[in-house]
Amino acid sequence: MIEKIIRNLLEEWGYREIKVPILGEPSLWKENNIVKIIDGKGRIFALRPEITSLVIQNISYNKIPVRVYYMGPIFSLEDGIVKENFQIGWELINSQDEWRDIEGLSIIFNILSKLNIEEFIVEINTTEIWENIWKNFEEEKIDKLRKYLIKRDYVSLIDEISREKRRVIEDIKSLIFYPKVEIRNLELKFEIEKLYDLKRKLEKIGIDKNKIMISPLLFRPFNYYNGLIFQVYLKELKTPLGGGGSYIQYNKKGEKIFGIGFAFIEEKLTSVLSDLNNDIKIFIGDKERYLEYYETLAEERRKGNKAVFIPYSENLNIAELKGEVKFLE
Amino acid sequence: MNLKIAIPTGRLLEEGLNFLRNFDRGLPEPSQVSRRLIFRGDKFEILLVKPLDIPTYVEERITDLGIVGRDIIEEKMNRVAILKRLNFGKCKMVIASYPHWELSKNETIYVSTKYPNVTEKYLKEIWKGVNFKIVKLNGSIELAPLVKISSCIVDLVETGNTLRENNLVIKEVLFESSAYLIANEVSFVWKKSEILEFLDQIEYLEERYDKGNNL
Repeated sequence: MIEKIIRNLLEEWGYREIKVPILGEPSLWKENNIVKIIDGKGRIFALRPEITSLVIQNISYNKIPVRVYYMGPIFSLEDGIVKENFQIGWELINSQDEWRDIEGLSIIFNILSKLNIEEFIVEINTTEIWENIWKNFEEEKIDKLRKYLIKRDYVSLIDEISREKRRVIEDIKSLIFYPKVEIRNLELKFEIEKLYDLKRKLEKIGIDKNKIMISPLLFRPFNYYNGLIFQVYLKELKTPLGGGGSYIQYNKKGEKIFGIGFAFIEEKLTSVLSDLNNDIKIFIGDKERYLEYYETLAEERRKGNKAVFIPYSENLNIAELKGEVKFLE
Repeated sequence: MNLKIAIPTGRLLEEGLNFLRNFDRGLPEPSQVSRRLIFRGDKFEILLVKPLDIPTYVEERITDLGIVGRDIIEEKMNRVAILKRLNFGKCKMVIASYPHWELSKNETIYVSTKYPNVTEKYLKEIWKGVNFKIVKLNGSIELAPLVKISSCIVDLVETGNTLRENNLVIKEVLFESSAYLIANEVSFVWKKSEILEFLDQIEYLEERYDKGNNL
């Protein structure tokens, strides 16, 4: 049901589905928890840990915006066990532009609204904020600091910076404590102001300003992000629903691809959307009389309704059924 | 402020609760807690949790925040935001052994510890080229060299008394530990203003403490 709603909405916006292989070159991904398989000729393949990279590999851009979406299984190793999830995402390929970022973000708001999800926050930031901080350090140090930021270990992040760089420490502290603490660094302030400008424009197209949080602390763990980045948090979830942003990547022909995208794991949404199937009519009856009931259910389906049969048993917990329950005579 | 906080049973309980009472006088004193595992103050709801489980409670968003030692954060490696080092629960994670023991690259070194992940991570870094095996124990780590389970241990040391009483000495300090404030990453968005307000109050308290005021 979630897939159907998202598919319909994305197609209304002109996005088309792209299907990419489940197997890929292991070098495409840097993750440590990749599931690898060896074929009969000793060649090693990776079971895709995410789909976006494969999509970008297969995209060509000819100065006309390309809009694609994808849905499919992804794989990872967790404590030595292969885990399968279902990823849904979409990409808008076009050079960096404000309209492109507004479309990228507004699709998220539209989809969550279509799914009747009211309580969510979209955290937004720009990669320029941390690029500005990294300017103060050598490459090796930046790697270390990035790791702390990805781990959200803000204490070690500050500890790692020598006391002589007091001004940088103050800047980082202002990012951690924002908006409680004022950001004094003018370049950082300028970037934040650009985010406020984007927020105002999103408001103009009807997006609830309370659902957009400017968060200069937000950091996405991939180097290809360039510009706007974002992460979505639902009130009921214990981890972010998903994230994305503006990026520069290369396709398999070596061409530069500019785009904005968002991806999430479907299972996270299904855990909070238990009532999506409420429009199903559930017919409960004696399993021995299934043929007698057959026409009743067929009639419902001809009327355009969804109808399912569930055999009656003493252990059947009616309260667990999602939909309109009817007992067959 | 309406924050759920997990604090550890054991050595950090008293200091952790007294620390939180600086901000919420509605919380009971440690002596009044007895066997209650959940209690409320005026601002905070407190869950008393085994130290090793605190990062899990926070990651699973059963609580918004947790107070826990750095040793546990490093060992458990949960996905939580590490917000603040607190001024109590100070101790050290150390390698300890007999005074005459020396590291040898020609033999397999057995290391006993309650912290296998921390041990693996730090020894790989500082014992390059040394072949070592970790023996995971759940307590009385100082006993391991005495009964020859291992030649050295990695453990948390507060005063060093237990080491001394068992004729062990510190060979190397891996890191200094103390209590830390950790947060669930979704709570850090949904309850951002409350959490930042709390952090602000902690900073204010620390400043006053640094200026010599008795709090």
